[in-house]
Amino acid sequence: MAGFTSQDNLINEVSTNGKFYRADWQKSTFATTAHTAGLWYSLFRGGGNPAADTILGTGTNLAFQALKDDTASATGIQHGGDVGGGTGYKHLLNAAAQTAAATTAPCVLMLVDLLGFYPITTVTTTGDQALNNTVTLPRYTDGAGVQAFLTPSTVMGAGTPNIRLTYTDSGGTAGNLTPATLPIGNTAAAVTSIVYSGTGSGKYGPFIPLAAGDAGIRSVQQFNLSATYTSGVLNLVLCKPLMTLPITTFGVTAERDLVNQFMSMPKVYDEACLAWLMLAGAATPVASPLSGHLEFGWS
Amino acid sequence: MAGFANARVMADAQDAGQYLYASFRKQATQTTGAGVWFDLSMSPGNPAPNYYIGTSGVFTALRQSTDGGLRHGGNVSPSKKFLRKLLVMTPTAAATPLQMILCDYIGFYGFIDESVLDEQFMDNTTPLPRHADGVGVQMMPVVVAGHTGGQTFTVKYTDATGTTGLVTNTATMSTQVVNGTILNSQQSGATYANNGPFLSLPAGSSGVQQVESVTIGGVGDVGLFALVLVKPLASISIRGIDAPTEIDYLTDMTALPQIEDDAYLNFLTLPNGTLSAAPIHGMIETTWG
Repeated sequence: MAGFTSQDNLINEVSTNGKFYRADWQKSTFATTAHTAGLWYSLFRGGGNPAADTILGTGTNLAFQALKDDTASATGIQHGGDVGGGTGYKHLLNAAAQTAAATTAPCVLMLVDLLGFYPITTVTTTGDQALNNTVTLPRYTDGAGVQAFLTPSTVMGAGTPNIRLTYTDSGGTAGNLTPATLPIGNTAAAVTSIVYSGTGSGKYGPFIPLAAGDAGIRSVQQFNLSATYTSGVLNLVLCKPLMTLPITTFGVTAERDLVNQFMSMPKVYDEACLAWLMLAGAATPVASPLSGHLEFGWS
Repeated sequence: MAGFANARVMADAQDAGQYLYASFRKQATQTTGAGVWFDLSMSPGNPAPNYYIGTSGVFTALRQSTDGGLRHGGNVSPSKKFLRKLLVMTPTAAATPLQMILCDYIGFYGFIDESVLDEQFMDNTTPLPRHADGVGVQMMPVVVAGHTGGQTFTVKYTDATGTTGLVTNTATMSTQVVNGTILNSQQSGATYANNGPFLSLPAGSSGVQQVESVTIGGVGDVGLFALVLVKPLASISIRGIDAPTEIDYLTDMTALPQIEDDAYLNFLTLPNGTLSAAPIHGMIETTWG
């Protein structure tokens, strides 16, 4: 049985059995998108180590594509490969992040396992558009804890449409709708931004709100814009949030011990595609670097 | 079996003397830049500086027994040695806050010429002395002779799975030029998307077994750099001059990073100003069993 039976067992696994992996990462904010305070962004497309993704926006319009740590053109933070033949998991033990780039702090980072995405090129179409779910979730297959966010891979045109999903929840109930007040897209939303994030009515972040009582998304059946977005390419991304890490101060490292300090030890499943979301607390210049590490243990 | 079966076994090992306290003091002479990663191994102090002396383009191994670095005790095989605690402090305000990464410096390819625009092939006659499978091993280009900056470069390498011919994403040379600067590190800037401290590996690649070649882009530059292979082990940061920082890697950051026999240990740092004349004092504690 995976997991740790005790703290002694954890010590034994990481020291005696060497079941430990440290991943150092560095991601820059996107090279052409300055961050606005109060908006959420994805660092998936920022350069660094791992490099910028080039997969969002590709593939068949409205068809779900799964993401894994070894998916070509997807650049998740590497976490040491599979430990259970594709169905096992590691535990995240520690995490840290810092930035020494001017005006990048404060910010909040959220580590997510990117499960897949629906590319949406038909952004001038209003009303429900049926999504293709031939491919299903590669992890968290029941949808428990799975959330959705919407981010452009090509800058959006003029428009402030309401955004609504029709989805099947983690209990298997179909036909659930995004509740009112619906998220409102930002006009000319920039690449990597989460298009409905910000402050004011109709702004949410980072995830699209779920219907009352729902705890996750298994699949999305319909995507609805109330008005044209004029141009651009959207990506409806499904992910599992794993942890948050606030950076309070320029140059000061944010640290999380997830065993003793914030006891949670989030599971990171084999093939997880790890990436950061970022809530900008200040106007942040393009290509501002953030760096840190993740440490994993397993049994 | 090497390692610790539980906390009691670890405590017993410490009581039995399988434990080392060692102090260090590093004091840079270089004027470092805010937000630019810097290799503290090239700075004076205790341990003595490392200058990356070796034949151009040839892999040179680094070892505690021959090159120094932070003292962590002798070889313990067949037991295993682990980092238990780190303590760091500085009395110099200009040096803080300061992020530090303790690395095992495995070795380096010396004196790579930034003016040569042809593909420069590396010599791998000498194998990696530690972490030979390349898992978690990163590439860190370190300035050893100043330049102007702004030119690009890529590195072709064999990754931890044994796949040959992989090429890093394009890096841009920093305009910070003092020796010890991480060549691809800049505080920010659109041309520095693939910023340091380590070179940007392509999707799915998680480590480096060996470097095959280096290619300088643009019009080249006048400097030289060492391409260092490191295994990052642990992180710690100095937040201010009002208190030292201590981390117990068992109870504060459950990790127990393993230190291999004869490892050359030193620090990679991210200053927020100049480190010149700023002493970094510290203590490293290791245990084995």
